[in-house]
Amino acid sequence: MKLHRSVIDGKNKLKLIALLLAVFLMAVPSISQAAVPDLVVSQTVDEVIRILSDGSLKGEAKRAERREKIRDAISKGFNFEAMAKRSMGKYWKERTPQEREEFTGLFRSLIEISYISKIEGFTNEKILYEKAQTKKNISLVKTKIVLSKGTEIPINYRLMKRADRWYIYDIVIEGVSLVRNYRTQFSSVLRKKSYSILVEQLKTKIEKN
Amino acid sequence: MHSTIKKKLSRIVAILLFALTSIVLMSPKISSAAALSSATETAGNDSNSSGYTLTLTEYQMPDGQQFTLIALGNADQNTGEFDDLEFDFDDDDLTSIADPIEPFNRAMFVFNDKLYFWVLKPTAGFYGRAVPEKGRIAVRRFFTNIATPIRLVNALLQLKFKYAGTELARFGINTTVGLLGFRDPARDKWNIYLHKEDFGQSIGHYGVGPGFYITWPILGPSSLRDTFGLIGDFLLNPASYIFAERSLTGVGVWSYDKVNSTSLDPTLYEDLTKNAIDPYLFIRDAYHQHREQLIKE
Repeated sequence: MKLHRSVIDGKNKLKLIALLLAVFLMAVPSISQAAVPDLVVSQTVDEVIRILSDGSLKGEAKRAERREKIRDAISKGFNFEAMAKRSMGKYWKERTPQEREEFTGLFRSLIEISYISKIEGFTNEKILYEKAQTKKNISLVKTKIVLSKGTEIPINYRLMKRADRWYIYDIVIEGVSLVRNYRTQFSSVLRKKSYSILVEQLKTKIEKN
Repeated sequence: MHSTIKKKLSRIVAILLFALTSIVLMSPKISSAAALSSATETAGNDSNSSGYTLTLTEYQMPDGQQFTLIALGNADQNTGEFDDLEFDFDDDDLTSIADPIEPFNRAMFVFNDKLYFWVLKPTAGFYGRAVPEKGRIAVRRFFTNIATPIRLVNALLQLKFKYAGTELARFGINTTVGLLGFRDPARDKWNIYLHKEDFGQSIGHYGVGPGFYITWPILGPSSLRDTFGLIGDFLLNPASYIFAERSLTGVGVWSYDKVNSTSLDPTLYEDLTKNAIDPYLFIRDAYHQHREQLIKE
């Protein structure tokens, strides 16, 4: 009894959503791409997947080229300065403009080396997107990667609006905010040691890869 | 015959008693806490009304033109200041888990780390080469399916009837059509997804915080609350009854489950920790955030 009900409910809801979506699309014939958080996320993710599934970019030999393209695709949707700033939290105020720029660059490289190799393992996975929840200048887009290996990974994107464009400033994987996680680590070093030691540690990590 | 029924009944009663006492004992402010969580739940329900099974757009190959528009905007990437007040989505900013026994935890972290590199990883690697991936996926599904009582009972304890329903449906479908749970047609054919619920979440749902962080040897990251939760989950897991009858076999089964799931993503732990500035803090914070998120859902 219960079994049947939940299955049918799901189908009906799907139909309803499809209908609403159709109405919505007819009513709003064109939406500026970067003006909608949903599209910033889906297009960034789609572009990365397109690069990964591009036959001409496959294999070890094409690794550098492929990674360069992924980096480009990511940089369009992300705002690394906002991420770096928030990963440092209150210590950001104490930094000079040069230091901020240096730190943003290092933070960006750290993210790239940490995640691009992991992303490269993802092919033929299904991605489900939920509609963005937007509050003024911030938005949350929930997605879920349905892995062929039998598990799902919820990945949510936090976006902010700057000059009429939406940028991703945080990724939340299985409930774990990337920026907040880095802030825990960085602030421990900044509190107990110093900024220059943090920079040294970041450089060491990046050079190792 | 009569005595086995009695035995089973007494087990169920023990579990329920454990559930009730731990919720009551650990939550002195149960009434105010309940009000709080119901308020957040309606807020959450709002956003979850579509649920994960509902898909707005499925992934399609993008056409290049859409993408160019993004690139255009990028030329004007603003690098100005951002007012921190803008980010009211992050209510959780400076909350982190208490860690009064950090020296102990760090020692256990090192122990577990060594255990991973010296024992778990080589064993999983060897096993992964011997058994085809499809078989290992099936084994993981079997263990997941068998643990349904944990998710079902805890969904009920939190009055999440929708998730109790999906867990029941998943169990019914996967145990029969899915050949004892080795397959997952509930997900693959009917898009009914698993929803993680456990005892630690149930206690947390009624307003009990994590207490403090604990790294257990072998079992890994936990908290005071979730350690209680682990006991409840253990009692609810049918696989545990092998342990009750023959403890060595029980440990074997548990280890096999661990080795099997590690073999399906053998580099996950390394990938995540190798680029951390402080791997211990990385794990501690990730654990805490992950648990808080699960409780909120």
